[in-house]
Amino acid sequence: MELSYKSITELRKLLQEKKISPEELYSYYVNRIKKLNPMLNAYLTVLDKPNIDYSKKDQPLFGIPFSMKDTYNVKGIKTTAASKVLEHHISSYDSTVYVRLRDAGAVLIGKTNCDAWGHGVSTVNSDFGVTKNPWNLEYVPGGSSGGSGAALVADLCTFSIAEDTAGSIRCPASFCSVTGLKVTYGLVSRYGCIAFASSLDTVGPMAKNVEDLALVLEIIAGRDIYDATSSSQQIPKYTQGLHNKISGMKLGVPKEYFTEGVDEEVAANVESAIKIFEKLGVKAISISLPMTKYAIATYYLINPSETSSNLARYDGIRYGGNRDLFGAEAKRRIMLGTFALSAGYYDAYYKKATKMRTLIRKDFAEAFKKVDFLIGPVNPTPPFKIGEKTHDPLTAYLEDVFTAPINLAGIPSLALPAGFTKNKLPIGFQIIGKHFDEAKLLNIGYQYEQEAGINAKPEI
Amino acid sequence: MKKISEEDVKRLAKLANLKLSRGELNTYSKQLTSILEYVDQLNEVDTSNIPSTSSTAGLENVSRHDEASNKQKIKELKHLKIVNKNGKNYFLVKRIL
Repeated sequence: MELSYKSITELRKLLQEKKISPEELYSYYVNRIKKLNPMLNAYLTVLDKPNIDYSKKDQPLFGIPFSMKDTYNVKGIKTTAASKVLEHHISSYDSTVYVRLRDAGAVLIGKTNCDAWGHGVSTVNSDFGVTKNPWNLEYVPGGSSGGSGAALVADLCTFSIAEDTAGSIRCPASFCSVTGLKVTYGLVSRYGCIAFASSLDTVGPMAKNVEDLALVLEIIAGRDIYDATSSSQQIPKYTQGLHNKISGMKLGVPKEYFTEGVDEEVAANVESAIKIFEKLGVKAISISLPMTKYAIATYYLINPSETSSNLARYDGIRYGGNRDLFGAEAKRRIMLGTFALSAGYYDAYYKKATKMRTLIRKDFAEAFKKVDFLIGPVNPTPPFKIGEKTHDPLTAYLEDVFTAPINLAGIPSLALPAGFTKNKLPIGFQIIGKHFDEAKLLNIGYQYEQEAGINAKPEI
Repeated sequence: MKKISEEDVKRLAKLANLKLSRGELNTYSKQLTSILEYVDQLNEVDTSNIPSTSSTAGLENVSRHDEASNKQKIKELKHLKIVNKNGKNYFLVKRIL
C-alpha cells in the first residue's frame, strides 16, 4: 500500500475501509523515522510501540499518528523543551491538547526537536543538536518548531502540535513548505505546555494541508477549566466552511511588509500569492501598519521579561537539573528580561514596551476596518545556512519582524507555501485575520491551496 | 543610552541566579548593550498618554470556586518518585546553613 504523503482525510478513509490497520500505518511512520531521523534530527523521542486504543475506533482521528513539539507534557514520557535542564525529565501529567487528541483516537508517535525553550528561528539553539532542513541538509528548517516542520515535509507524521510565541509555527512552516496555524491568543488551552512568554504563547497545529489543520483545530480548540486564559468562544466546524467562495473579499497589503529588509525572492513569491488571490476574485488594497518597524524592539523587551520570570521556576530542586545547564540564548534572554524588569529600569523598558504594544494592536484594528484579511511574508529572508546568524543575536531576532507583531496583537495567522527560491528552498507567506477569525482564514487558505497547487516534495 | 558593563552583568546574573564565566561577562555586556541600543528607537514614539497592554485575551478576573478537583490532582508520592533524582518520596535540597 502506497502511504507516502497522505493527508489525514485520505488515511481516515483507508483506515475506515480496513485497507490498512492502525498498526501498519504506525509502522510506516516509525520505519521512516528510523531511516531518516539520524540524518534530520527532527525527533528527540520516538515511541516505538503504538498505543492504539480500540475503544476510540469511532472517533474522528482514530489511528492517526501525530507528533508534538517537545514542550508538551505527556505522562510517563520525556519532555525536555530541548534544554539540558530538563534532559531527564519525565512528565507526571498530560497536557490538555494531548488529552483531546488522544480522546479523538489520534496516536502519539514522538516528540519533536526545537530551539531550547522556544528561543530561536532555526533549531540551532536546541541543546540536542540542530534539525536539518529536508530540502537541503545544509540549511535550517526554521524555528523554534523546526523538528515539526522537518518531520511533516519528510513525511514522518501526519500532523504536529507546535507552539507559536512570535513565529515558532509559521517560520518552520514557511522554511519547510508545509502549513501552520498561529491561533488567536486563548483559542487553544496551554495547560501542560511549557511556558515561554505567557502573554504571547499559543498552541496550534502544523500539517501538510489546510484541511488537516481545520480537522485538528476542531478537536483541540475551546475552553479548558485548567487554563484560565482559554476562551469561552463557541468553536465552529472549521472543516465545513473550507469550500466557501472568497470572491469579493478585500485583502490588505501592508506596504511595510515589503520594505523592511525583505529579500527580493521572498517579496516576489508573496506577490505571486497575491496574484492568485486576485484570480480568485479577491481585491488587493494597499494599506499601512506604521508601527511595524518598532515590533522587534517591543517584542524583545516583552519576551525576555516574561521568559526570565517563567524560567525562574527551574531551580533544580523539585525537578530538572540546576541553572548552570541553561544554554547561551536562554541565559541572554533571562538577563535581558531581568534587566528590563529591574528597579529603576522597569518604566523605561518593560512598561514602555507594553505601551508600544497598545499602538501595534491599534495598527491592526485600523487595518481591519478596511479589509477582511492581510498578507505578508513570514520571514524577511528564505531559509539560511546552519551556522549563519549565530555570531550576533540581533540578526537572528530581526527574522521575527513580521511574525512578532501578530503575537503582540493576539490575532490569528495562517502560514502557507508560496513557492521556492532559485536554489530550491521553500518560501512561505502568511494571511492574518481578526481575533477568532480562524474559520475565515482556513477557508481563504484552502481556496488558495487548491488554486496554487504547490505540491513539490524534497528528495530525501 | 544605557551601557551594560561587566559589573551590571554580574549584578543581573546574581539576581537571576546564574553563574557566569569571565568570558561570558564580557560577551553578555557587549551583546546586551547592543540589544538595548537597538531598543532605544522606541523613544522616538511618545507614549505618555498611551495605556499599557498586558494581555490581548479580553478576559478579566477569571475565577472559579476554591474546590479541590480529583481529576486535576497529581498523585504526590508517585509524582515525587518520577521526578526525583534519588528515586525516593522526598525532595533533596542543598544545605542552607
